[in-house]
Amino acid sequence: MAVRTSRLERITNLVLALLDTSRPLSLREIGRAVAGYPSEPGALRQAFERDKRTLREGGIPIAVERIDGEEQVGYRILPEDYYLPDLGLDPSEEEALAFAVAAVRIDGGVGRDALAKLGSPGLAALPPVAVLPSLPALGPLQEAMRQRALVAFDYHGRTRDVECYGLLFRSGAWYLVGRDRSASAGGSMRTFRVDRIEDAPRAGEPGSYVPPADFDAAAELRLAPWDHGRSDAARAPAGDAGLRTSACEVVVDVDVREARGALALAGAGALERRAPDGSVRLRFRVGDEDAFVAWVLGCGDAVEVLEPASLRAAVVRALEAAAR
Amino acid sequence: MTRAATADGGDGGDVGRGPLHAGERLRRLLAVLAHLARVGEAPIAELATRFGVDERTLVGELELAACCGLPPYTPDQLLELVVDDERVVAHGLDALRRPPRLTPDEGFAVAAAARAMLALPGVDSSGPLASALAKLEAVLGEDRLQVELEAPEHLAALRTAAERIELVEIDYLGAKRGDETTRVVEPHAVVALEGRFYLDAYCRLARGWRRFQLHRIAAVRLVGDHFDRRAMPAELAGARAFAGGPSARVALVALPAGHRPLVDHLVAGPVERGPDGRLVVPIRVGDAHWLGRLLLRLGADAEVLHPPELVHAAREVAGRALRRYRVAGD
Repeated sequence: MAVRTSRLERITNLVLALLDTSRPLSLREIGRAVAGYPSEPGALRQAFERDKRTLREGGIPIAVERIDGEEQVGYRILPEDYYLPDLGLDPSEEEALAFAVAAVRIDGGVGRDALAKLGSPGLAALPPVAVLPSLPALGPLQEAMRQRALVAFDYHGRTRDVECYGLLFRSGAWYLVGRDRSASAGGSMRTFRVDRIEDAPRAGEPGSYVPPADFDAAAELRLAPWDHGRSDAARAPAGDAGLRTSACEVVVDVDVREARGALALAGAGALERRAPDGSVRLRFRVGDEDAFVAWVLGCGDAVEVLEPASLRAAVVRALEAAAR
Repeated sequence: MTRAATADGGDGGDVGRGPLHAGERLRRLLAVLAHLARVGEAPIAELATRFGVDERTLVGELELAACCGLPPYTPDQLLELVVDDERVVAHGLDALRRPPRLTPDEGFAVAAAARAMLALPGVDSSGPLASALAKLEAVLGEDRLQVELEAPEHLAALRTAAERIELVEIDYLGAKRGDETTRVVEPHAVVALEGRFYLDAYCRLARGWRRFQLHRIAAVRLVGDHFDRRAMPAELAGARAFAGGPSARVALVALPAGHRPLVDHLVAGPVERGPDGRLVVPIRVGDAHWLGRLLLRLGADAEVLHPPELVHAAREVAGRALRRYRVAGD
């Protein structure tokens, strides 16, 4: 009586056999030789396709090659597809990486599996010095950037085709910056909040674009609610309905509680002066006045609009309405 | 944010998680075998810790792997793994001696951890971590990752005080003006959570554990005394924020449906549609001032329905802000 082989065992056998072979194996050869496969051709084909998919999802692609003979296609795992190339890390570098992975907690992270592959010493149990959120899309997006593959995903109800140039973690969220080639965006630079991507990103062919030289995601990030033609990342409601949306320059005083956040939104170039108590005066351009007013209102008494007079008046009007 | 930090400090393996897919189990098994191929033998407990898996699962998978090998599966063609109660001894795993490539998730996890580490103030940006990253990029391709962690000015002083178990006095700015307090605290740890730094400390003023935002700490003074380290309650260690503590309430807020994305990350329960077409959204509130600011940002069509003591939160904040304009302007 045949002992039933578990699927994990069968796939492990498949990996070993396809790595060991010096020529591609036909499906029939695989079925005959590798332990665990059913003998009936239809069931064999089905089981093999399923295993092939599992391996590809695990980062192990099976190469499909033409062979002579009845079946015409053969399979093997190419060593260069399977083995991690030698990284040449010295012991101090391995240790530094191990320390970083141990000390920075990435939710649901697979960092320790990776460390084991990199040959690092075991992980010490450390209290985390930093905690970063992880999202299922991050790994695939980064892989697409490494490969320079166009990525398609749904965002705010539309499908985007994006050349990904950088991933940036700022103020508690991961952002993707890149050129949106979908028709509605017309190839403009966009910022996407990764946790708002609505489906699993789908990568296209590698090498389909060249990122700009010296690309700096931090400089290209558009997060401020008042950025005109800004990313879809932050959408603010209209403030005073009577205001028209147009570009103007504003001056605000921000006290110490909100100074850092306001500077992060307006950019370091907006800083006019910093007072000893930590408050700052900022001057910057605003594309969407309604969104700017909503932001000021949301800062309570921490922000005061000094210029222009029209926006100062709009804020006071809204506050008076709310204070009644 | 989408996901709260887990409270147990567990990361990685499947301890406490549901069963893994065959692909993930295979990935881990291959990594374990590659490790064994290099070290020859290892205690089961150490392997379990290293790969974040419980010992029973690990032993089960190793026993299974011991039946794997190359056709025709004669004893000389099987993986040589001898598993006993405490150790596993491996021979002849030559094909697996070199580790498999990193998956995209693994590559991301390592690069993100290293970039975050380099973003911490005081970390040597030209040391072994930076050169390790450069070598990873040379093989895997540019990682194109940037991690920004704000670097508040009292970070180093508070870290040092926590390490040396020194009592400190801090001036802490509350959420609203006039809320400044001076407190003597027992610093426990400084931690960066989702991009912000926090001081976890036992506060002698509040007589309880508090998590302080570093950018609101206006001044730090050493008191010149040490303290006896208390055990921090485990449920706080991984929590996102606990300064709100037991006083945190849930408010029902009515708002236009179009504003939903602005509060998505705050929703604390099922959202309903009110008779006037607005959404009624339960929102967890630590502090009335914070709620008032949220309401002002949402605009005139948003209001608090419940509880009664929070219905006027926006009015109070607006009154405060107006005083600033009147003093400055008129």
